[in-house]
Amino acid sequence: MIDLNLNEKTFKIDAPDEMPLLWVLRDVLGMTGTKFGCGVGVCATCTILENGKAVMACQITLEKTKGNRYTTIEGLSKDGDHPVQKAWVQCDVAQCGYCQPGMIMEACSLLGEVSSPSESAINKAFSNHICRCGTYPRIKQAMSLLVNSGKKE
Amino acid sequence: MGLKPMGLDEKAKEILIYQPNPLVSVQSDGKILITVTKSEMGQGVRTSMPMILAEEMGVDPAIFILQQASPSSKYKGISLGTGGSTSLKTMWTPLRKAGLEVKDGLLRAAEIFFGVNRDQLSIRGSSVVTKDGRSVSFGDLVPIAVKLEPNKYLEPLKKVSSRNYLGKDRKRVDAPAIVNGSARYGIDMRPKALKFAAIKRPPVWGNTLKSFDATVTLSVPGVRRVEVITAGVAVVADNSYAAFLGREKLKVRWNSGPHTAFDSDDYQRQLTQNLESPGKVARKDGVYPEPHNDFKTIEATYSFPFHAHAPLEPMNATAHVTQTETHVWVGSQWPDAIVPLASKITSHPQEKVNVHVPLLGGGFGRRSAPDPALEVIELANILKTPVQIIWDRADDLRGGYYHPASIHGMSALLNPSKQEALYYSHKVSSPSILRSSNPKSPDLAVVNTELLGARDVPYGIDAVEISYHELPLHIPLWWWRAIQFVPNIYARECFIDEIALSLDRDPLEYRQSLLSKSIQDPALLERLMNVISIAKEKSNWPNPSRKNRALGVACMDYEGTTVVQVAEVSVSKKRFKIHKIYTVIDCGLVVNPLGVNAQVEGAIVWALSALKSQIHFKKGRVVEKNYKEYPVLRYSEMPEVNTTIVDSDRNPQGVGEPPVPCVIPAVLNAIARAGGPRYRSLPITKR
Repeated sequence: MIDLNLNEKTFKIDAPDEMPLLWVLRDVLGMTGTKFGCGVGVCATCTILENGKAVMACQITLEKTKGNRYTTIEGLSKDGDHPVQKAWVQCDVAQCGYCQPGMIMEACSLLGEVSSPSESAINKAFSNHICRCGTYPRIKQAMSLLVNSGKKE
Repeated sequence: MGLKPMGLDEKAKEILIYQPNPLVSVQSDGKILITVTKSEMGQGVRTSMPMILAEEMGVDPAIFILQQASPSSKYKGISLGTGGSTSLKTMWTPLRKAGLEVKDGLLRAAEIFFGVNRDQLSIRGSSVVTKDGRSVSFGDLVPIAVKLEPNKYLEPLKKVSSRNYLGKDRKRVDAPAIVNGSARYGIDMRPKALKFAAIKRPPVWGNTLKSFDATVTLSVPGVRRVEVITAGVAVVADNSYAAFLGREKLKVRWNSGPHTAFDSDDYQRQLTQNLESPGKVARKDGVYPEPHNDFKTIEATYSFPFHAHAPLEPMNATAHVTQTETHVWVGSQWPDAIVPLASKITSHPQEKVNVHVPLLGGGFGRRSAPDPALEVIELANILKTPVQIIWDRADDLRGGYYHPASIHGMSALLNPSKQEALYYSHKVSSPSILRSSNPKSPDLAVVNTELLGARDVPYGIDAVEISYHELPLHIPLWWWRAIQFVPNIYARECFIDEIALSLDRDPLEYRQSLLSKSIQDPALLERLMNVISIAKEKSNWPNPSRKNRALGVACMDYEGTTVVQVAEVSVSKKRFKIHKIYTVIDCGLVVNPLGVNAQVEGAIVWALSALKSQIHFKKGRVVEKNYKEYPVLRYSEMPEVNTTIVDSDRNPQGVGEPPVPCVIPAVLNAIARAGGPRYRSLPITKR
C-alpha cells in the first residue's frame, strides 16, 4: 500500500511497486485525463506535474512517487479556468485533443518555472511532445498569449 | 389557446419529442438534440455540422445538445462512415434539409398557437415570436408540432442566403472537455467490472499459433485469464500494466507461414522492375510524336515508402457481450461496417449490436478498419464480462493496415527549342489498396483508384499516357490521410518541375501556361488558375523573403477542392530547413474558417511527417516499434503557415485531405531550386 499525493489529496494505492504511474492513474484510479501514447517516454502524451515540474507518467513507477506531489489535468483547476486552459480554448488549439492534456501540463510546468519563457525554451519543451493532428502553430499562439499576459502583470 | 405550456400541470411530466427528421429533435422540456452522423477525429465535425443545420433553422448552434450517432436503420441513406474528406460534402444537403424541416414544423405549430399567419412569425433565440411582440418557446410548441402531418409542400432548399454562422470562425465545441481532461476517447471507456487485455499477435502475417505456455503469465499479479482468439493469444488482466507484463511472459510458438522472408527493400526493387510489365493503360491522349533530332527525352523514377498511420491514441476497443446483446465502444471511422461482422461473431441479430462511438484520438484512415472492434467482440463473447483490448505502440505500428510503397516511372519528350513538352507519361507500380481492402473490387475501380492524381493530370500536353502496374502483396493495406493522391501528386508535381527546368521555364508560370492549353473541365481550370495567381502574389513568387532561400510550388484538384502550395526553404551544407508553407485553397463554401485553417495546418504536419519516416519489413516482420524508429514532425520543426481560403458559392467540398499532397512536392521542388539535391526517394533520412 502506497500513499499517493495526487491533486492535493492522498490516495491509498494497492498495486505493484513497478507499475508505472500512468496505469495507476488510468486503470487503478480511473482518472483517464492522462493519456497513453508510447509507453517509453518519447511522445510526452502522459505528461503530468511532479512537484510542479513536467514528467512523463509512463516513466515513473509507483514506488518512485513516494514523497512527491503530483498534479494531473483533472487537478489543474475546478472549473477549467486555469490561465493555460483558457488560453488553449481561446486559441482553439485542440484538434482531436488526445495530446492536449500533456501539452497543457507542459505549458504549466514551463510557466511555473519562469513567467516568460524564451522561444527556445518553449521549442525545447514542446518538442518532446507529439501531435499527429498538427496543433503546433496554435500551441505557439497560445504560448505567446500566455507569455505576453505574464509580462503585463 | 393560452400561453400556458400544455401538459406542464401534471406532476408526471412526460417529455414529448418532435422529430421531423432523424438528425434533429425538439423536446417539450426545451432541449434541442442534434445527431452527429460522422465521427469526431479532430476534423471538427461536431462543431461544423451543427452550424449548417443551425443556419437553415435560424438558430444559434450553441443551443444544440449533441448526440453521437450509432449505426441504425433510421438514418436511411446516411452513412456514418467518416473519411475521404466527405463529411460536409455529403451532409450539407441532409443537414440543411433537416434544419428547414424542423423550422417549418415549429412555425406551423406557432401559427396554430398564436392563430396568425407565417408572415407574422419569426425565430428569435429558441422561441418563435410574433410581430406584435408575443413569444413562445420551441419546447412549448412541441405538443402541437407532434400532431402535425409532414409538410408535403415544403419549399425546396434555396441557395444559401444568410450567413449568420456559416463562414464565421467557430471554436471547437469539445474544447472545454478536452482541456479539463474529461473528454472521453475509446481508450477511456470504463464500463463497470472492466478487464484489460493485450494480444500476443503472430510476428509475421500468415504465421499461425502452434502452442503456448501461460504458466508464468498466470502467476503475474493481476492476470486473470489467457484465451485464444483469431488475432492471437489474449492476456486478460485487472489493468493494462498486468496485461502487457503477462503478455511479455507468455511463451508462444508459431507455425511459419509463406511470408517469413518478406523484405520491403526487395519488394520496392520488384516494384521498380514491375514498371516494365504491360500494366493497364488508363489514359492515352494524342500520339507519340515522330522522332526528331531536336527533341529530348527526360526520365525519372520516384519512390514512396510504406507508412503507418500512428494516431496518438493507439488502437483499442471495449466490448460487453451479454446473452442477448452486443455492446462495443470504439473510436471508429466506420461503425456501420462493424455491425454485420459483429453479428456473425456473437450470433446476436444486427439490431442487438450496439456500436458506441466516443471521440477518436486521431483517425487518419486507420480507424475505418474494423479489426480492433472485431477482436474485442470475439474476446468479450468468450468472457461474457466487459473487456478492453489495448494495443501498445508496437502493436499499433506492427498491426497492419499500411499505406503501401509505390514506384513512379515518369518520362517526357521535350522540344527545347520551342520550350514545350510534347509527351508526358506516368506509370504507377504498387500493390492495390482498394483490392487489399476489398478483394472483390473490379479491375477498373482498382486502376482508377490507384491512379488518383496521376490519371487526372490537368496539364495541356498533346500526348499523355498513364498506366497502372499492380504487384500483389499479402500485407493488409488501408486508406491513409490523402490516400494515393500523396505518392501520385508527389511524383507528378516534382516531375513537372523537372520538365520546366529542362525547358528553362519558371515552374509556376509553366503550370499556368499548361493549364491554359488544357482541355479539361473549364470550371476546374478556372479554379486552378485562380488559386495559382493568388499564391503567386502571396508568396511574392519567384522571390523568397530572404536571399538564401528558394520557393517551390505544386498544385492539384482534390475531388473538387483546389489547392496550390508554395514552400520556402533554405539549403546549406546539404541540410535543408523548411521555413514557410503558403497554401491557397478553394474548398467551396466555407463553413468554419477556423476549422479549415486547422485542417490546413494539420495537413502540412501530416505531409512533413511523411518526409521523415517509413515502415520497413525484414524477414516478414515490421522493424519499427515506436515513434523513435518511426519519427514524426515535432514542434521545433514546424514551418510558418500562411493560408488563404478562397470563398465561393459552390457547395462545401473536402478539406481534411486536400492540403496534404502538394506539400511534399512543393518542398522538394524548393530544395532543388535552392541548390539542394533533387530528391526522388522518400523518406529523406539525411537532412
